[in-house]
Amino acid sequence: MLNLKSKQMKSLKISLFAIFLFIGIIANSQTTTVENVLDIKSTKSTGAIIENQKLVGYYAFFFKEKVDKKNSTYQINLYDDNYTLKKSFEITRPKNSIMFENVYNGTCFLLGFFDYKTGLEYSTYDKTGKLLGTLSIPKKQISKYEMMQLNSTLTSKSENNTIFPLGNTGFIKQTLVKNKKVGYQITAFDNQMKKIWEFASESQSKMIEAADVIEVNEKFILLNLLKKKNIFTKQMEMSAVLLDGTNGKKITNIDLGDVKKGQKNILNATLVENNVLIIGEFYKPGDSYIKDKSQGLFLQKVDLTGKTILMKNVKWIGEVDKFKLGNLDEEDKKEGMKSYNIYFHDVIVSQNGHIFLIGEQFKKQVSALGIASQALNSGSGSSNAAAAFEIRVANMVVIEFDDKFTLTDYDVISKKKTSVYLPQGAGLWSSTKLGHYVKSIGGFDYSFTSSNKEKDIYSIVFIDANRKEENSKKKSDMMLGIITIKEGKHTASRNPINTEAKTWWIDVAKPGYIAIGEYFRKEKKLNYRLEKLAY
Amino acid sequence: MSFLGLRLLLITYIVLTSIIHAQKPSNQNQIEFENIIKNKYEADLATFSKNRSNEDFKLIKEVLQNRKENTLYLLKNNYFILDGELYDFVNAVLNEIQTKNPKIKFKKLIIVKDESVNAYTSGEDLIYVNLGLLFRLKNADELAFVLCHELAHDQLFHFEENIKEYIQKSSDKEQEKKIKQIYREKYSHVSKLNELLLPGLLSDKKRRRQNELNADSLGYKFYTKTKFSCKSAESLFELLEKSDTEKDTNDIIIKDLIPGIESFVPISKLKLEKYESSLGAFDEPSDQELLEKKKKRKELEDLLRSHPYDSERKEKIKQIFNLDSSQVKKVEVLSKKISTLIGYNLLEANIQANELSRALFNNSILIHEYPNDINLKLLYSIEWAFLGFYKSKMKEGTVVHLQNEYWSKNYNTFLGIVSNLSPKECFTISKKISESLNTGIKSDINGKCFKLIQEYLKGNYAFYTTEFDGIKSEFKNSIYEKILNDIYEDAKFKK
Repeated sequence: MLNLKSKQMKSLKISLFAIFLFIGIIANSQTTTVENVLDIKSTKSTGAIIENQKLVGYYAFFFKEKVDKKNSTYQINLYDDNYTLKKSFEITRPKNSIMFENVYNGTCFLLGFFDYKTGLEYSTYDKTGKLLGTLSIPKKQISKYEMMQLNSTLTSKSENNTIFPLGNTGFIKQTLVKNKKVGYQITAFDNQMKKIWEFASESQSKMIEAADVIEVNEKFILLNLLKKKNIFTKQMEMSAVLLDGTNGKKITNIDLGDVKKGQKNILNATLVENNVLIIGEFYKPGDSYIKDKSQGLFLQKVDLTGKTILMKNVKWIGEVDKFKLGNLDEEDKKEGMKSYNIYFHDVIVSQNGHIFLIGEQFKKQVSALGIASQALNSGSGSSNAAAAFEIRVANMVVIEFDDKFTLTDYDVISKKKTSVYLPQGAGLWSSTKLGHYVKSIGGFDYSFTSSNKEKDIYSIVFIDANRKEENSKKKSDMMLGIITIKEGKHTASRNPINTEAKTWWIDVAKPGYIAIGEYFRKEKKLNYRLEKLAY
Repeated sequence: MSFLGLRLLLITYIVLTSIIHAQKPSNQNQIEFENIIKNKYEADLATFSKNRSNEDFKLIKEVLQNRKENTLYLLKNNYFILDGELYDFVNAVLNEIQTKNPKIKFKKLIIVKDESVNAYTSGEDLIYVNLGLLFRLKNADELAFVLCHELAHDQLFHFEENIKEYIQKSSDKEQEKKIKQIYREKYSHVSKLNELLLPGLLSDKKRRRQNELNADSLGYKFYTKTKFSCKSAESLFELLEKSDTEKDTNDIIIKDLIPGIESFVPISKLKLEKYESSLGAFDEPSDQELLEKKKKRKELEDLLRSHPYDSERKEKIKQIFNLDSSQVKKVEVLSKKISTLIGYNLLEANIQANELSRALFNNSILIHEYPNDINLKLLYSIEWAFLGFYKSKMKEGTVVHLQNEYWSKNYNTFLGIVSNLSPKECFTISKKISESLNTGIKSDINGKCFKLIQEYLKGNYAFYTTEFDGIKSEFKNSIYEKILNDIYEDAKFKK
């Protein structure tokens, strides 16, 4: 879940070109203003500091100067969630090293550096900038699979793919290693980067094995394990394992079935009152989670000894659809009953135990533009990448269950439909794969979830392409849709955003808020302001 | 011409001249100040450029042009108070000083609509006093000493000295050579530049701090010739010592200012929330090396101050004052009328600067002090309505400060409460305040704005649009122009 949110956050982020100008922040302003910003573009030099799935601040990492032939000095600035500069410290690093990942665990920062000559280095710093510990991995010890994983992190906009906070006492690192074929390794470190424990695939395994981290906290770690015979086969075994966060020992395997019995695919896992709540989709026997449509949702509660306390399957046909008919009003019913797939972005568990699944409808349909384009190009003999199909992204969906896993609400929140054009050949992809594709290219309108667990308020922010304000012809600069879940009840609203800046964007902010970045080119000024999402 | 005709002509003449006279002071003042600024620019350019190289002339012109343009910008955009009752009060203090010290070159006063605690002069025959300073003063004696200090700066040609220093530093060929040498080197550009430039910067700051003390001494000489009391001006230095922090206030409890608020705002939203940074406290480093670094940094920060360390200044001036402490003069405490006038102007300046949360906070303090003042309540009601409107349009962030460690505890608490209130709750607060204001509302710009807002809050959108169409021109270039136009657009869609 953390991984998913962090990716989303990064994709929204536009940061400063002349990042060193962050020093000039005017702290006493209602907006954080950075003067003399010549240009803005995407960079990996700034980011959010996340603690316990909550944004607690921002960091800015920038080059200061070369100090000698081999080393350069960098400055790290830490800002709290109100954009107040709290700490600034310098670190000296080999001049070609790149910071590719960073994570904060509430006590210290773990920064991952990569140097094409020397290899990997993971260093922890406390909040005063004091180096706590370092783990170096020489280049020759980095497996080619890890190198591929690293390259993907460096070239993509995503972050936090391989390191995660383990409570506030340490971190875990996920690595692909060379076994007989390919395997995985999950290693836990304390805040001084001393290894605490390790959990890895069998070194003699003849399968390709990979582990996807679904949830990490100081009590447990849930991993999704994948096994396949070779890289080309579509046949794969899927399982999940629950580990004890303190020692890395396996608590239990979570049965995810198989193609014969019927597969399961985990969407989300979270700790609720010392039990692990796992939510996912299930498939009928013979179907594959990669290419077929799921049969419904499963909800499973497992205690920390591995015992399943409660489990329930809820079918799309016969259960969810019947509920929808009774629950939705006439207008929403039309939208709700259309044959859409749902891509689930997030799962929220409120303090009263109710579970909210936040999804977005999508479906594959014939693309008029794609067909026309293909027809035109066939005449001219040129090649064309456009597919004859497109993805129609439609409404937001909220599915609610009570603490006994009984379906209690199904709500469709209307928004303007948008299209995502597919590359050629994508018309044959399964709906699940298409969902992941649309997600990966940022084609969904869901932006982020802002959570305030203590106050039991969650705001799900999405963008509605219908910019018309209520009861008027006026179009706002952007129409934000906000689903608010407060004390176990959800409401939805449309909130127009207007700005005088020509270049602007929204960004994730502290719980309950949205950050609006506004760049005034003429004044060379960048403003960041916070707006409250729910009261 | 008949008698009636003559009478008509006379009446027309009186009406016309009275209209012209009513507008004249403001326009005349604008033009007069504009001329002072422009003439001084020409005169200073001629004086400073004598026997200077072309290169120096360019630098001088750039500095003086910046000064002129910045001042004219503020003048044209209504950031200065150039007349009115408050202006007359401050000007009377300035006149008293100038009359009793006839050798001082005559200066004109400008009150700046700025909340920072400051007064300054930039060699333009003008003395600037910020509203923020006036808001903190207790008596006219403190004000008189501030003005004497600024007049002394002018008399000692400190602005001219700063320009000369700037030109000398900018045309230092030796230093330029050293900078080029650093850039030719391969490593540590930033550190080496710091090393080279820091001593010059520190000596410049030291000179400026000495200038402040010199201005205190000469200012004191001017001051003793006036009717103002040394003893009561002493408190000014207590004030200056705290000028980096906010004005001390009693706990402002919103629920005490708005009776019955608990009936429409959940008590949890009125709970005092203290400010804590999301990154928590940053512990003192235990490492000796880091502690040393921190200490050095603090020392450097002190050395970079352009004003004397507060305690040093206070001690020095106390020594001078004590010499004459036998002089007992009458202390002129600021009257309620002047204090509230400063308050109104400050609130309007806050609104003009888009600092609505400051306006609300300052207004809360003022209502706490003057609970029966109708004008303060009227502004308070308008401010709450504006806040509700900005919140409803997701523009709260443009007018409300974020909590941070630089604000006072009380302001941070206030911000915590304000951010929790919904648009509807802000509108209800505005309405509740307005209920106590049925009589005594003037038909000035504030009164008209108040009435329009109340109609909007009642849902009389048609009335708002029609009324606003009729009086729109009266709000032109006022602090309310933009927001009332935005509300007008909203009312047009809602009606």
